[in-house]
Amino acid sequence: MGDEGEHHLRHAVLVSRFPGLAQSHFRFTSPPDPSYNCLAFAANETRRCWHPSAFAGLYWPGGPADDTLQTWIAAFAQLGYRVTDVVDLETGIEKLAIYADPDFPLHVARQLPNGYWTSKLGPKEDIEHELEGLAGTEYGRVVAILARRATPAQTEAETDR
Amino acid sequence: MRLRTFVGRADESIFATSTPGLSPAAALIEESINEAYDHWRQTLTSERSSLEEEFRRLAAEWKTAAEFQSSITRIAMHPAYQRIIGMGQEALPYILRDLEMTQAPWFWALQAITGVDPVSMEDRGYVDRMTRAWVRWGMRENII
Repeated sequence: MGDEGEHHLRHAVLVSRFPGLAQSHFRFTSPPDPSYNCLAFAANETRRCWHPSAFAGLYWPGGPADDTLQTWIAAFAQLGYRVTDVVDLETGIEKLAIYADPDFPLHVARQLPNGYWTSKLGPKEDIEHELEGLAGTEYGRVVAILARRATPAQTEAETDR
Repeated sequence: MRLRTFVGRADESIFATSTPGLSPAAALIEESINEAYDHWRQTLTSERSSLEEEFRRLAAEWKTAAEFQSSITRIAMHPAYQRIIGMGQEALPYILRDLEMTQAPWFWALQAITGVDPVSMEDRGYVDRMTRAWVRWGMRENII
């Protein structure tokens, strides 16, 4: 299968799992990579996986904790994020969106400067997308928006961590 | 079956014949033991083979279902993943080999089955380092 055929197949598989992507903008922005996950990616880290559960054996800021929405929010609070009601792009503000089903956290996406969102899909690709595109049976729906003032130095430090 | 035959013959011939080397009775015992051993080995091989097939089937089912999942908790709660955990120690060689090849999130299952975690605190989250730690542990424990 050529590159184009492979791209169409990846596209079709993704849309079959996230039907919302069929009606909204999305594009692949990386190849699959199991070395980081959505939680790490939301925190600008692409070298390790984050998860609060002790059984997962992964990294979590402050050490293992219960896998709850509050735990996720508290972890990002350590990076300066606070809960907000404003979903739209705001100049100088970085945002995260947490998906849950209904209260159990399943995914987190990070807003890009162009207003779209970026997500790491499990061990698979990163994509650029709209928030509604990933809502559904896999990730539930967006239940919390977090925001912090954009500080390039902080983002850079997180990326280098 | 052969053992029974031997027992039946024993009264008749075991002490009746005096031959140098292996007596007919001893030869029968040896043959019976070898047959029993072959049978046991074949059964064991067959059990291992079916166990491996079951592992592969469950692992494939789980990987397809959890392909895009971000939540390790939801990944580990998948029924196929839970059934692999339920296979216990027998599943460890297959899990460790799959981990080494694919770096799939087997860490939950490994901890649940073994009760240990050979990954150091500073390596948590680094999937390649975690994989190496578990593979080394498996080799130390003669599992792989």
